[in-house]
Amino acid sequence: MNFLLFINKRYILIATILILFPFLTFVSIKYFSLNLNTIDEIKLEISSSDIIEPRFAISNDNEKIFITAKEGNFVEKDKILLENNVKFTSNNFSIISDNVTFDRSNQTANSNNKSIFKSKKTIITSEGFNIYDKGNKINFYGKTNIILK
Amino acid sequence: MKYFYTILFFLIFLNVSHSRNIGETQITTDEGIEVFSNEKYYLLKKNVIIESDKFSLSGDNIKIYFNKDMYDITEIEAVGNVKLKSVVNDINALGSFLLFNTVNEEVTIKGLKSKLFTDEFEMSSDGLINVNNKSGNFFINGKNSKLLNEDIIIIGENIKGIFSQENKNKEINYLNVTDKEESYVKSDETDLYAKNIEYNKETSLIELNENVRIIRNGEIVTGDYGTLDTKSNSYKVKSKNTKKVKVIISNSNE
Repeated sequence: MNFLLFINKRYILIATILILFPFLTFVSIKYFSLNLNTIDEIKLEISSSDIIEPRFAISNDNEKIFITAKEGNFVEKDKILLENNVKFTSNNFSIISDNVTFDRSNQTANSNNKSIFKSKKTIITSEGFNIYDKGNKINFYGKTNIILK
Repeated sequence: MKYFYTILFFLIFLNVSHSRNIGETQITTDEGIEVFSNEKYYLLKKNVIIESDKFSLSGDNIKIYFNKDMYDITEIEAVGNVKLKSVVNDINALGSFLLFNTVNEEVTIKGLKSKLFTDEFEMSSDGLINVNNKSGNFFINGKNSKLLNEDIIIIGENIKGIFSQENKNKEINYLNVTDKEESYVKSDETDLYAKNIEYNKETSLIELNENVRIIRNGEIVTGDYGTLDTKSNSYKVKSKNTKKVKVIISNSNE
């Protein structure tokens, strides 16, 4: 008679479970730990700036000015440096610049980079700008060129 | 050579990108522009130059009022070394302050050595010059106020009048000159002096009031009131009861 037939099936089952359980546990831990690492890496890559694609708004009685950018970094508690393709858009005008400091508490924004303002039949190019008084007033800095169509 | 072409390319590109097309208005400033949306005006700062098909204007600082949007200009207020050249209205103006209403086509120049030229007339004053191109009304006020053309010289502290709007060539339809001391009008070969001189084209009469003095061909007539008919070229001088009309005939012209 075959020797294996003398071994109790229960012992075989228990032994199998005892061997497989730690193995499966080890493999699954490894698998999840690897996945977690890759997610962390991706997160690190994206979050090189404090805010990704930030969106803000300045409101006054006449209009709402929406502010968008690709990146934003906190300079102070309420001051955010908006970088790359910064856009100010309202029903009446748009301003495009690259580096703009937005003050959330005072609802102001200023830039010392080349800026392009566009509204109906009007284009203003300047060396920077400052939006204040809830967007009712805009100051364009430096040598400025205005085209009225 | 490569650098030369690169610089040349950028210069051409920059020039093209900032050039004005027909129908457009171009404004350049050295120290920017401040836009006040609620108040509906914008401030142009330092060495401002405005170029359009209709006019060119330069000044140290210029304030532009608009109606609906920035392009919709209603009034221009220029301060410091102001120069205006209006092609459409045939006006050239110089002064330290200028107000140009685009709706009424009205120009006001203030300050020392203010000047306004058209093809026919030259106005100058150390005070104020105002011309409304639509109505034809004009007003010159202040010291050294003058209105000149080829045939006429008008000098007085207050000169106001109306240009004719019928012909392209501007003619004076109405004129009123006053001066605390003495107003002066030279027409043809006649010199007219009085505190107040008034001309009306409809009646063809020049009326002179107070301290009247008419000089023609060496003949000097003085009195309190005088009239000169521009059609017949004849004149009359009256005097109040207490005074007499005085006539002086110069020997050299006899």
